[in-house]
Formats: sequence, structure tokens, C-alpha cells
Amino acid sequence: MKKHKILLVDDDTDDQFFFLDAINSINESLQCEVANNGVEAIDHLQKIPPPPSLIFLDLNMPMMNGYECLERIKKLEKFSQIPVIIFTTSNNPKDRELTKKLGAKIFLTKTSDFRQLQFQLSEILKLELN
Amino acid sequence: MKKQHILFLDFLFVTILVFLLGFSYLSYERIEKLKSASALVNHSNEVKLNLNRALIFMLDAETGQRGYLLTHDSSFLGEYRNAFFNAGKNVSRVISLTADNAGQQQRGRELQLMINQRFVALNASTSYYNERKHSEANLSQLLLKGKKAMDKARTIANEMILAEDVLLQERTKEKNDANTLTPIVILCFSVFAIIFVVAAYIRLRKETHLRMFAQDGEASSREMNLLLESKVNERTRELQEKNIALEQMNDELISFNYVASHDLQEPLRKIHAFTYRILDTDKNLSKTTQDYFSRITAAVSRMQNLLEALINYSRASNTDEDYVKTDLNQLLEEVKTDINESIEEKKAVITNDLLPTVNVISLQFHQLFLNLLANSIKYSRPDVAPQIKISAAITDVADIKKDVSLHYAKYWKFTFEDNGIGFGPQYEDKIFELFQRLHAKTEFEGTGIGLAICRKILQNHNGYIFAEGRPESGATFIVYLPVVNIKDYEEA
Repeated sequence: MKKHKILLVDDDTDDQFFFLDAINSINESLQCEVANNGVEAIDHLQKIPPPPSLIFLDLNMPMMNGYECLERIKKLEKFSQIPVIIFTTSNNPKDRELTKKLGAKIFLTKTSDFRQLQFQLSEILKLELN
Repeated sequence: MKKQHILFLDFLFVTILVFLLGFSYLSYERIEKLKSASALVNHSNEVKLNLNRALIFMLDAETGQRGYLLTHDSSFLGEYRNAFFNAGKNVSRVISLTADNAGQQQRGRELQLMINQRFVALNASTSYYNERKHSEANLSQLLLKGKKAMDKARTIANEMILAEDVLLQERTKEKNDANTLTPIVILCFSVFAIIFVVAAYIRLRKETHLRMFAQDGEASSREMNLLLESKVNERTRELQEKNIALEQMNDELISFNYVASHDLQEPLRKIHAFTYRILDTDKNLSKTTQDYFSRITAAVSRMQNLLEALINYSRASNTDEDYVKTDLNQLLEEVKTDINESIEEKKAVITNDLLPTVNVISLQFHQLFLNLLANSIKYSRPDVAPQIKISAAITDVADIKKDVSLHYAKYWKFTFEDNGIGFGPQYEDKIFELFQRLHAKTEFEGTGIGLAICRKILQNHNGYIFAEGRPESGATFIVYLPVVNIKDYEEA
């Protein structure tokens, strides 16, 4: 089984904590990197290989928000094929539509139910990482 | 109004003219009568005067004759001849004056005859005396004859004077009557004329005043219009300013929404998540602590739901969104997927007619269907599986028996009928108001916003939503959506 790397782009440390906790509970062998905003994410992609298999992207972030970051990623030929999962507090259908248009694959609204998060993440990993 | 006024003026003018003409004629007649009465009086006086003169001349003649007979002085004869001539002239005058009176004419001619006889007698006695061939007896006979003629003449003259006196009396009375009556009649007419003219003036003035007032009214209504116009302009300006302010507020509200949806949700989600984690991971908690934490998560959940509902409500207020052709069958399937969990949990059965494709704000209609279905499932009767029947039909505006202003000829009528707990008819309007709940929070979870959102969405689409409740047996929600273009109709 190929060793996968996952990139989480989120400025919220609590959410980073939950996310990492959930991912580790599903598959301890997964390598998970964190970027605190869009700028860091682009920087990470370009400077730290290998490219991630999945990108979880928050929308509301300082420096560079999720929409812009998504656009940038889709414009970088090298990374444009990486599936991007929007991971946000918003459940606004507009955000869902817009990000879909920009090329996001899945729209995941952050939940406060840890078990639900675990379930959602495991489903996504199953689907996207073969 | 104007025509009437002119007609009235004409009538007034003609009336005054007729009246003044009549008045003039009557006055003229009165004066003529007075004049003729005076003339008749003078006439009678003249007749009397001439008669008296005739008698006096006759006496003069007699006196002349007597003087001559006594003195034989021929100077007495001159006077005697003149007297004869003058008496004849006076009687002729009387005859001509009394041409209109047959009796007086007759008597006049008799008088003339007598005077002639008298002078014949006088002449005879005088010439008899001149010729000196008279005898005393002949003379006395002649004188006696003369005296008889004289007496007869006097009697006739006196009769005539008497007749004239009778006439004079009548005529004087007539004249006096005319004298007293004429000024009174003329005065009366004058007073009438003055009253008439004054009345006409007052009426005319009133009419003119009215017209002027009407013109004033026109003028003031024009002023009123100007005032209104400026008021309207002012209001329009105020409204425009308020609109701008409102837009700014709306922008602020949108950013508030964002804050509410993201920044307020964020900490709540974390409180919820961490409390949940504590409950999940730490198995050594006392029962009391576990209960407390459960209560915290429940409260936070409610707060989260409330926030989310509020966000949805303000999102439903947004009418800027695009209208797109939406297949409601497809939309219904999406909604069913969204609430799949609760459908399965309550074993709800949702059946529907073939639904049309309509031109709506898709996201809002998604919300509408979601809220109505979620509502029916939530307020189901315990131990009775919810059954929801959705039907669709086009209805004529005349068939919508509701007290609302309907601006379209045809409406889509969507009916959501369930078999839930229902509600009393007194709540049919209340349930659509914001934060109105019919049940305690412990009975049914809810924010009191869902149906308010539905109403808002229908308002955005120029439609209506009504509810009919049957306590303990179900509720029916009826949605009216205007059929805007005929294509919608054809596709039905």
C-alpha cells in the first residue's frame, strides 16, 4: 500500500487537533501535514515534496482564504489533479456551489460530533485513497 | 355650471326689462289719466265761465237798453250792441266746448235761440223807441216778451251750469283721486323696481362670489397640488435616503450573517465537540458530572440550531438570487436525501404527484420543501408513522378563497398533507410568525423559525403559504406560486 500524505489547510488549532485526532484514529500510518493558511499551503506544496494525495481546505482563513487558495492550486499544473476537500464551518449552499465550480471535489461541513467526523473522514479516505 | 349661469343672467335681464317696461307704461297711463282729469275739470270751468259771461253780457245789453230808453243817450246803444255780440260768441264757445255732451248741446242751442229772441225783442223795443211811433202798451208788451226770453235764457243757462257743476263734481273727484293715487302708484312701482334690482344685484353678486370662490378653490387646489408634489418629492428623497441606509444596513446584516454563521458557530461547535469528547473518552466521570455535560451539549445544540435557523431565515430574505428552471421532482429527491436519517428513523412515507418544473430561486425552494417535510416528520403522532402526500395542480385565481391580494391569473397549488399531531384552526396564521412555537421545547425540538422562513420564501416568489390544522389528525400546508410564464403551464 502506497504511503499517503494528507495536507490540512486550516488556521484553527482546535480544528487541527480534532482533525489529526480523527485521522490518527482511523489510520495511524497516514502522514498528515498542516498549513495555517493559503499562503503557507502554496508554499508547502511547492517546497516540500512529495505532493499530498488529498488536500483538506478551510475557507475562512487569514492571509489567503480557501477560495483563492483553491484557485491557485487548480492553476498549478503539478497539483491541479489532487482532490481538494473543502473542510469548513459553513453550510451555506452558495459556498458549496462556488467551491464546486472552482474545482473542489467534496464539501464537508465541520461537525462537533467526533464520531461523525471519524465516519466522514474514513469514508472519504476509502473513496479517494483506494 | 357656466351655461346655467349665462341662462340665469339672461332670465334676470329679460325679467327686469319686462318689469321696467310695464312700470313705465303704467306710470305713463297714470300721468295721462291725471292730465285728462285736469283737462276735464278745466273744460267744465270754461263752460261755466262762458255761460256766466253770456248772462252778464245779456244783463249788460239790458242795462244798455234801459239806459237808452231812459236817457235816449245813444252811447248806451254801443255797449248794448257789443254785449249782444259777445254773448253770442260765448254761447257758441259753450256749444263747441260741449260737443261731447248731447244734453248740453241741446240746451246750448235753446240758449242761443233765447238769446237771439231776447235781442230781437231788445232790438224791436229800441228801434220802436227810435222811430217814436211806440205806444206805452206796445212797449210794455215788447219789454215783457224780452223779459220772458231773458228769464228763459237764465233758466237754461242755470240748468247748464248745474249740469256742468254735476260734471265738475265728478271730474274734480276723479282728478283728486288721480292726484292722490298717481304718486302712490308711481312710488309703489319705484319701490318694486328698486327691490327687484336690489334682489337681482344680490343674487348676481352671490353667484359671482360663488364663481370667484370656485376659482379660488381651483387656485387653492392647484396650490394644494404643488404642496403635495413638494411633499411627495420630499418623501421620495427621504425614502431614497432611507433606501440607501437600508442597503447599508443590509450589507451590514450580510456581514453579520457571515459572522453569525462562522464566528458564532465556531466557539459553539468547539464547546460541543470538547464536551462530547470528554463524555466519550473519560469513563470515570460521576453520574452527576455526566448529566451536567449532557445538559451542556443539549443547550449548545439548541443554540447551534437556533443560529443555523436564523442564518437560513436571513438567507431566505435575500431576493437577489437568480431564478432558475427547477425540476421540483428532482428537488424533492435531493431534499429527501438531506433528511434521509429522520425519514428512516420515523419510517416516514412520502408520496407525491408528478411535480412541475418551475422558475424559482432553487436554493430557497429546496429550503421550503426541506422545512415543510422536516416539520411534518417532526410533528408526527407518537407510534403513527408519518405519511406525507404532496400534490400539485394549477388553480385559477378565482378559486383561491383567501383574503390576500392576488396579482396573477393562475397559481400553482402545492399541497403538503400529513397525518401528524395537527393544530387548532386558531393557530393557522400564528405558526408562520417568527419564533412562534405551539409546543414546549421539551415536547418537540424547534426554533420557531422554519415556517417563518417558508413564508418569507413564498413572499419572495409573489406566492403564499397557508396552513390548515386538524388537532390530533394532521395538518395541510398549501403553497400558491404564480404561474408566471405559459411554459410552466405546458410542462405541467
